[in-house]
Amino acid sequence: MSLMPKLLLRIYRVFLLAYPRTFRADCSHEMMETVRARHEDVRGRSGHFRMVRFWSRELTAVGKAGVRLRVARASRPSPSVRQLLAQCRYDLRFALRTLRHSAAFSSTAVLTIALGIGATTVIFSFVHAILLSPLPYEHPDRLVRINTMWFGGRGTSISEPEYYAFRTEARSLESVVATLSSSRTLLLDEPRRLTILQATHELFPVLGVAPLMGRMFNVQDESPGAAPVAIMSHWLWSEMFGEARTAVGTTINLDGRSVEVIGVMPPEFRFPTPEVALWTPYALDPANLDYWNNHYLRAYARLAEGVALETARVEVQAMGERFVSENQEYLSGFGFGTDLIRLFDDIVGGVRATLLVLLTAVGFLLLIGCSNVANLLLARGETRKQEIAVRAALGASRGRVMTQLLTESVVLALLGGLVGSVLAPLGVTALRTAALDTIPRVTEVAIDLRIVIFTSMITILTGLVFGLLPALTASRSDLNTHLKEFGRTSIGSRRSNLNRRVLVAIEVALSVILVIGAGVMLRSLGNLRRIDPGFRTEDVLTMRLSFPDAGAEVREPIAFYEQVLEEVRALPGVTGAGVVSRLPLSQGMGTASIQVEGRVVATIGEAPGSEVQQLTPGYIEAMDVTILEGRGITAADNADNRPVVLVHQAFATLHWPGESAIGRRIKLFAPRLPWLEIVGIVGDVRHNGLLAEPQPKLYIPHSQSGESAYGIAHTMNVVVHAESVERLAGPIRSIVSGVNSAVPVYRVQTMKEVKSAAMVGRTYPTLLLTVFGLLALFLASIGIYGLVVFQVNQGKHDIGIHMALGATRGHVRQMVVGKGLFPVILGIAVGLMGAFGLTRMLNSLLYEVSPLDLPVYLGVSTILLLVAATASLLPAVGATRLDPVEVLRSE
Amino acid sequence: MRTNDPSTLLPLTSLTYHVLLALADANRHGYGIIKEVEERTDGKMEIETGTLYAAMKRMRDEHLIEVVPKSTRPSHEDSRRRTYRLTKLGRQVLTAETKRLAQLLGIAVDKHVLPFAQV
Repeated sequence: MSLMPKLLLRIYRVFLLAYPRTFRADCSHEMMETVRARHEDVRGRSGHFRMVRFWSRELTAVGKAGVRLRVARASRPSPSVRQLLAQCRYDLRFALRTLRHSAAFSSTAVLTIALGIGATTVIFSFVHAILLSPLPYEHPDRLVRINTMWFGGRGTSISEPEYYAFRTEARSLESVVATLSSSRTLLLDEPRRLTILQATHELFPVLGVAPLMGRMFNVQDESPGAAPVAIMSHWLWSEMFGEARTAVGTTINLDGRSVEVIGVMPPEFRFPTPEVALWTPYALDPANLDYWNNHYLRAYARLAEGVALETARVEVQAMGERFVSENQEYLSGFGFGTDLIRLFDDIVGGVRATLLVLLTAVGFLLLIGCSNVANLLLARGETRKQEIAVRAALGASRGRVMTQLLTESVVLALLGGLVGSVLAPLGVTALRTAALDTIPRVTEVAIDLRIVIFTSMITILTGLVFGLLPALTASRSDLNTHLKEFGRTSIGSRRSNLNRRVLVAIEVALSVILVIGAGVMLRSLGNLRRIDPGFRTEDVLTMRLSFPDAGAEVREPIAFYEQVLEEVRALPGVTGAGVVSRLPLSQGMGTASIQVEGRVVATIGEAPGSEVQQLTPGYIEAMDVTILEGRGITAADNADNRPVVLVHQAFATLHWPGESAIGRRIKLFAPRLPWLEIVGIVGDVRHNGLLAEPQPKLYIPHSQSGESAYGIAHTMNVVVHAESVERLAGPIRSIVSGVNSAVPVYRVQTMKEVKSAAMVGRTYPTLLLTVFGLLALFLASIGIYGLVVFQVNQGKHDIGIHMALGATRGHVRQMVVGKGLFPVILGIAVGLMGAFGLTRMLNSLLYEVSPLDLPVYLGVSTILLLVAATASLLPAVGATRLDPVEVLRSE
Repeated sequence: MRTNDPSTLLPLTSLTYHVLLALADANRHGYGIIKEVEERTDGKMEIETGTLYAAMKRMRDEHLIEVVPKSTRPSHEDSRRRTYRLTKLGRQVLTAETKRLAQLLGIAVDKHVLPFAQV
């Protein structure tokens, strides 16, 4: 038999899976034989068309018959089950009909449930993926990060000699990897800047991950002078090579050097962040390690088999103490130490508090939703007492009546769950896109079916419990009483009224807590927005340029940036342009040790530190950084003239309190570097985040940095101040590629975007909490409105009598609103107390506002009272329009 | 469900009737049934394997047909293919259905539904 029929037969066999298993066991063999024989028949006497027709008919028939058999099997119940099913069908139809008739009630309930389930599912999906799922590496519980500590605070990076000591000596660590995040220019048709991670060869063994194809690094790759190699991320491989396996072994051009691609990682490997495009070996020369005080490596380790975290910490901490005692000249005086933290905590620690706050908030929202539905159901149960009594009188058993009522509540819950599960994926996608860079592991977030099921179960349970209450009371109560009441409305039973008020009070209390939480977060965000970063954020466009490192003459980058700036300044609308090495609020900056003239220090450990920026003329002006004293940088501050420096106000007051710093001399802590004269003092700029206090900082002219700093920066940020900056990106790109086509232009963003990106970690939780708070308010007002409407409806009789006896409209309004407001006030009181206890959770997320902020507490109470008053006023006004004669006559 | 009264199963689907007819004069395996029906109807009735086996499964459940026990099969037959035959009930049902159809046909003939006596 040739290939084609064999394939067809195989497909046929797969199709047979449509049949129930028992049937397959019985007949599949025979069917295969038969279909084979028939295939031979058809082949023997007719052409291709017939053959196609034959197989399509055969395959379709299998599908159809299989499904029919399965359906027949599923719907062939025993008589009692059949009866039950018929009853269910009837109940279901009846429930749907009733719900359709009271569309307002049903849609409110369904919407309430949907919002609760949707929101809970979204947030829980995040919590599940980020906080509850183990990291996607082998034995993730054994993965740790090695940190350095400075004055007891958590530092981050370690130095080469420290890394080497951990790698060779730490017995509680199975293997240790050092990594360095950086970027390189990939030369394709146009240059492209890529994030790469340099790592020692232990990276993949430590994480327990193997490449999809190709090989991992080995020790030879990281030795100095080894041929450059790289392992490619799955996404870059797809983009560049269209997932062709031939990628392994080819070379790519990175920063002008040929680099061989030796492997490709699987798509789910995104260490440490999703944007990493390549992993390259970190060249480590054990014979020639860097200084002990240069801390720039991120180190991760795998605990040795069976070693507890605490045991390893003791060893690592002891090693840190040893480092200090053996390298006094570098490490003493900083409160230096080394410590371990679980990799999991390192990655998710920053968002845990936020996520837990949001989870609590949606939990509240779900509870509010549930009480709302319960309230609606209770109210409905009350109004349907007579209907139920009639049905009971006509012979319906109590069980039947209850099943009927419960079916309705469960149908409501299911519909709500359905709508909620449609909403949830939208919410997850929206939130994922919005917060992509700020939340770790966010690419792992997906809707978890279990969560949808879990939240739906909760609502179904609510439906059952609160549907059951009225069902029980209604079906138990005395038939006669209700029949007698038939035809006239009466005050609802005291107990169910109480239940409903308690539910409304609960709703209000939960809403108060939620809205207060949102309120203090909003206040905090407002305070954050008011922080002055020390530079202009409006009308400023920034973009990063990387001048190639390889083969460049020392002065080339200086000339390049000067040329670019000259042409940019000539663009229409541009009022200022400059270049700086590290963009504030975007690129972190470490400190370098410096020397102040006239102050002798024994070791580098005693030397003061400062952040170091390189800049060109025009930067200070374009960013509107204040010049407090002296002057800015000019074109004359070049390599031919004496080296100068600008310092921050914080720097000046730290070293020369009460005196002028102009004319003083400082230098970077290295013997060969010259003294730099301070020619200007500028206002403080917040660099490492809006909340980080401005650190001492010095600015060195880019054109002098070859002589006065450690080297000329090649990667710089162009900063342009102009009227309509959005239109400038294109022209500036053309300028750059005209000056040097090998220079990539990337991270094009306005300074405003940079600032909001720096706040996004605060903005989004606040936004979400506010949305949840508003939803809570909305749901609670529905609850209050519903309560008052039913109270009015059922109290018509009383109101009629009151009015007949001379009560004024104002009186009636007061009576109705008062009745509605009582549970609200109770709820507000309870809510305030709850908020008092719970908003402490927010403490770590707040900036310059107490979680017990009085204005917020008062404001929220007022808002709730207003909402409640409005919600109960509508039906109250309706009540005053009642004609007492009509009401009383109707009985 | 076992039924002893043939009339409760009437009318038969066309497929069921054809299968019963095919087995009326000989025991056959599935392929044989398909061939027989095809030949008798000049290829007008084509049965797909999947449909046939689903129908035969139902007919076995209704005790209209049964598998011929291995021991009573001629030894030269392919032992992997099962052969089917009519049960007593199957034959009764076939007879009953044929009678019903004949009656129907009689009415049609009486009413001169066909221009010429083609029956």
